[in-house]
Amino acid sequence: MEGEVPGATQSDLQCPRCAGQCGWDPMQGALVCASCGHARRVEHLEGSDAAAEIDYCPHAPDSDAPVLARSRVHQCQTCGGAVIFAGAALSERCAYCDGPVVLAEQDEGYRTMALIPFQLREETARNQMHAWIAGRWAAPPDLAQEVEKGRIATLYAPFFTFDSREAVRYMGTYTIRRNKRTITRTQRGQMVTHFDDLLVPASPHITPLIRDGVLHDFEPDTLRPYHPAYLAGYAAERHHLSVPEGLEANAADKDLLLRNRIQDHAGRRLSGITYHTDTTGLRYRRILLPVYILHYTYRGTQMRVVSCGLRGQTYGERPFSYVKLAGYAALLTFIALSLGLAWGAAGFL
Amino acid sequence: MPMTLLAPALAALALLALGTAVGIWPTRKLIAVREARHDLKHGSTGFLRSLAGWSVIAFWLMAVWFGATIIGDWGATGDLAGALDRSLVRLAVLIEIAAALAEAD
Repeated sequence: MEGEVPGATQSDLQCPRCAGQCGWDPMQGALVCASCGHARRVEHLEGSDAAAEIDYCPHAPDSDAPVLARSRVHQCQTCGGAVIFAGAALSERCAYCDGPVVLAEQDEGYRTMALIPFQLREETARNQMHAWIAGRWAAPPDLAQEVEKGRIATLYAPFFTFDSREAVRYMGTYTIRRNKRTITRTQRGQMVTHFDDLLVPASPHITPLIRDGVLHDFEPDTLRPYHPAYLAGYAAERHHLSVPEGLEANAADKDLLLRNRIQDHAGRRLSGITYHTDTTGLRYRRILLPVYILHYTYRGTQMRVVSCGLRGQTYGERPFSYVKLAGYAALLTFIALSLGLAWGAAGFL
Repeated sequence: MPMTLLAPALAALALLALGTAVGIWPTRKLIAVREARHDLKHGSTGFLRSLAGWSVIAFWLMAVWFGATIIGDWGATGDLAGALDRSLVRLAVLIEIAAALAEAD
């Protein structure tokens, strides 16, 4: 795993036939030489297991220490995102926000355990993004032109996968109508629920847009042991969050998911839910997942469309045309108005 | 158009204009909900957050429908005060429905 330092892999990325520079080819699933086209598989160390997870106990001594690496880090001056390149630097812009980057020589991060390599070419991702934009309702007429000027960044984004068992005790209230009176009742309950491979961003720069929009097709079975050769030709962000930091960053999302599961378990809409959960069996992985991010600017506002590097699932930010929105609103208002006029004129109650 | 229908017709046009202006935001929400249902993983936090607040769409359409029923009654009977009185029963039912929708949101 020491090979995580991109500088140490430069010789690994040379073609054994012509000493040309190799890059990861998603279509061939191999390292391909840019000069002679020779393809070779990425060899993994014996015994490396991509599915392996690490037990986490908050009270045990921390064995997950960050590793200081001498690598060329491109640090964004706008959002603070830091990416590394295996091989030549591909861009002078931040993959997350398109801001300018400066070069630093050292980076401290945690060891990545596994990744899923890119399985889609940039042209395919670009087509998916343009198709997504074309399918938007109430989009401004010049949106497609503006998106055309956008810049695509490729990125391996860092994530945790967390497993846990949650023993939850909860309480909430619900209301019923009886004899024209509203009665509030309290319901208590308990349940055991599991999170399996819950995908949690390991960087503050990964937005819900990236995680829920495009990476939800992530299949843990397709993970491969980490090898820096997969990064050849792509930017990657190293893991910078400790496990407690990752758990804390995910607390609001976990709370939302647990409240949703409590509603399902209660069998009715509860208000004012309070709960206590005992979390056990916490296990995690540090992984990288591939995304394409299209940065574009519409009337001075920076926006992003993200496409998954696995199957091309696409989601993003988009502007609205207020003229078109008003048109749709007028149509819906007209329908409701017509029904109401007919109802009132008919003398119904 | 007889004078008795002119005022309800103008009121209907005013309601159409007001409903359209107010409806821009609920329409935007409607599109966001549709995109979330289509594009986001169901049950994910992003999906749940995108759906939150969908009841504003129902409130808007219910308000337009309710206003239109009064205008329709007024146009048919020529009695605005009576139409307003008769609308109170509908209003009570709509408030019940709105409360149930708000709770489900």
